[in-house]
Amino acid sequence: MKKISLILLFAGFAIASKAQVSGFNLLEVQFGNIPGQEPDDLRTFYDQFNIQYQTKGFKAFARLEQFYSNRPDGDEYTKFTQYGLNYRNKGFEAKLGNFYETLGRGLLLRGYEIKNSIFEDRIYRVRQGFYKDVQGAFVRYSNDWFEVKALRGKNLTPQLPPDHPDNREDLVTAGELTFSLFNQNVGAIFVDNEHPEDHSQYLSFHFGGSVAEGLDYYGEVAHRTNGESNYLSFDDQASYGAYFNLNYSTTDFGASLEWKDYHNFIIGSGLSDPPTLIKEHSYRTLNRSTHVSELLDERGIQIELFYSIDDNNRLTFNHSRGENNFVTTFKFEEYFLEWYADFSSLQLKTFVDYASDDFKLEDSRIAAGVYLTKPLQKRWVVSLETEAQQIKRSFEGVPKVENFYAGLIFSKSSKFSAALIWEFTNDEFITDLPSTSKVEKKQHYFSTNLSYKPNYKNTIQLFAGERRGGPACTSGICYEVLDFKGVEIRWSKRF
Amino acid sequence: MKKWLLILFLFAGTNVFAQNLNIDLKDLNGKYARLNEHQGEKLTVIDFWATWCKPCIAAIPKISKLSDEFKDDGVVFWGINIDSPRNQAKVKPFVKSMNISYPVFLDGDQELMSDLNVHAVPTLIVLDAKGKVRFFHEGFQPGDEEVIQEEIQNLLTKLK
Repeated sequence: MKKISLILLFAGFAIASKAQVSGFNLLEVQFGNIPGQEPDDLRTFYDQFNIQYQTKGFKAFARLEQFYSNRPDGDEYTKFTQYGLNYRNKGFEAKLGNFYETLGRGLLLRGYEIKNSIFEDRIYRVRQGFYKDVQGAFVRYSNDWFEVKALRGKNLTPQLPPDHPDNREDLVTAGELTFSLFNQNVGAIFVDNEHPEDHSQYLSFHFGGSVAEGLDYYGEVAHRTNGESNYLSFDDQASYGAYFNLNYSTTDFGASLEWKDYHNFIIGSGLSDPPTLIKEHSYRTLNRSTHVSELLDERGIQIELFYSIDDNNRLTFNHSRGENNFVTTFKFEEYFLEWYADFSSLQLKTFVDYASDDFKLEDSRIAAGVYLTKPLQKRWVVSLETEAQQIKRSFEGVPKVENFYAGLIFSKSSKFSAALIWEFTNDEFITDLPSTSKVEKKQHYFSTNLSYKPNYKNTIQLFAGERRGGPACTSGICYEVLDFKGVEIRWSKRF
Repeated sequence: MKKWLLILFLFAGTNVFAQNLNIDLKDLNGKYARLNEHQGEKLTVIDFWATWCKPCIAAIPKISKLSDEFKDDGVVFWGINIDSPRNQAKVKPFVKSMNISYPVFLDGDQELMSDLNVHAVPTLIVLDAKGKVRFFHEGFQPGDEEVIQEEIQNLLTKLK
């Protein structure tokens, strides 16, 4: 109760002083559970309250999260999960408390927050904000010639509940120094991570810049310095990550080529998050099927091409391929093509995708989809979204799987939307409920989503029905979404 | 009891909305830019977007046209890209292929996003010369470009 009083006191003081105070609250209430799990009338409450005070270069902030449920043996918590002070002035920056920081391209350290997302783990069944921060201190200084960063703090393991005693086991000390001259950058990153089971140290070198008009590059090589192998060795015992990127861009056309090689590259409880070189799909069937990079051993490439035929027509092509060498070699490849067209009275998005993934026993995975959006009168818009996917597996138990998705959405400007969603799968890995003796061979998922924004400060969302879970990737982070059957109400308030 | 106290507090929320452009973000060439030195004489229009966000991509050509339309009226447009390192390599080729005419800055750690209380993409914010938020628009649907255009026009008329 003292903590609540403190935050109310802080908020009251800030408001009374007419300072630059802003905040955001995310509240979500669920009535329902994972299908087949008891109790089926589970009621849960999650709230995330954020407040910040800003004046010139100074910022103070705090986040309070709480979760309650009527599960008899369920975890509940109320906790200040973030708080801190930041100061910025002419290239200088200092942070005390919780902060997000990414060094280089995230090979050695990446912090993130998936805003507006709520994470729930299948084991703990506790909902929480979805972010990975460091709790400690950070300083940065930059000018036209160089940039230097230094930090020390405890890195969060985001899969564990906020009140879990082991959720900050990694004590990381890191620094980065980058020099810039004539559009070229060279730099080095040092990371020391003290984990109860391993004390690791890494050093990386990175370089980047432009070599000609429209031609840019970036490279980074990170290697453990206190492991079993010496620093220049890339043998099987070595722990290293290497990434290279070459870009070309001109009017109407852009191309990106990336290459990766990661080996024994899991640092502590998951400090690093290097580029996966896998297309981040927003289409439902493709997002759910995304290949997740295996940092124990993976190498591969990704090519993405963008071409604007004209202002209203656009093509995107992506090809990625990877290889994991464990006892045997697992290969992955994907080809994706999308056409976006705006005919004024009708918007069209259509895609085709082909992939194969040995690691997931998928010999072939073919998907296609069409999204149509038509403006109506008085700023009403109707959208029809359809996707179909067929997966052929080398696993005899479930050799062929079909997934379908369809959505019909009516919206008025960006203020109101109502959606009817249908999904279908005959994947017995998904459909079969462990709580029943029979084998469920197919599953339909029907749901409705309503969203209303009475003003820019408030958004109210209602979900009712059954939601298909599974892997999901957002903002470069892949995680598991749980199935859900019931009603969910979410209220976001900005103040 | 605790949760209800917080909810009560929310209803009593203040109308003050903070804005803070005292921040350095990298441009597409990797050079830091101090944003408060690049504000518009009358208005600054900030579009938060990401390469994986379909409504963002639909909005960008419309915002680019608005940028051209208002460029002589003291209105400056910025694109703020929030892509993570996973997609960072694609941002510059994407921007160039879309022929985006206004400057794009990278906010991969979402610092400006947090400062401006932005929690979704696309979000478009219009600030006046003093940095006060005059318009806030979340999401994008066909026809929203007309709403944004009207709002900018109205604000310019009021500022005359």
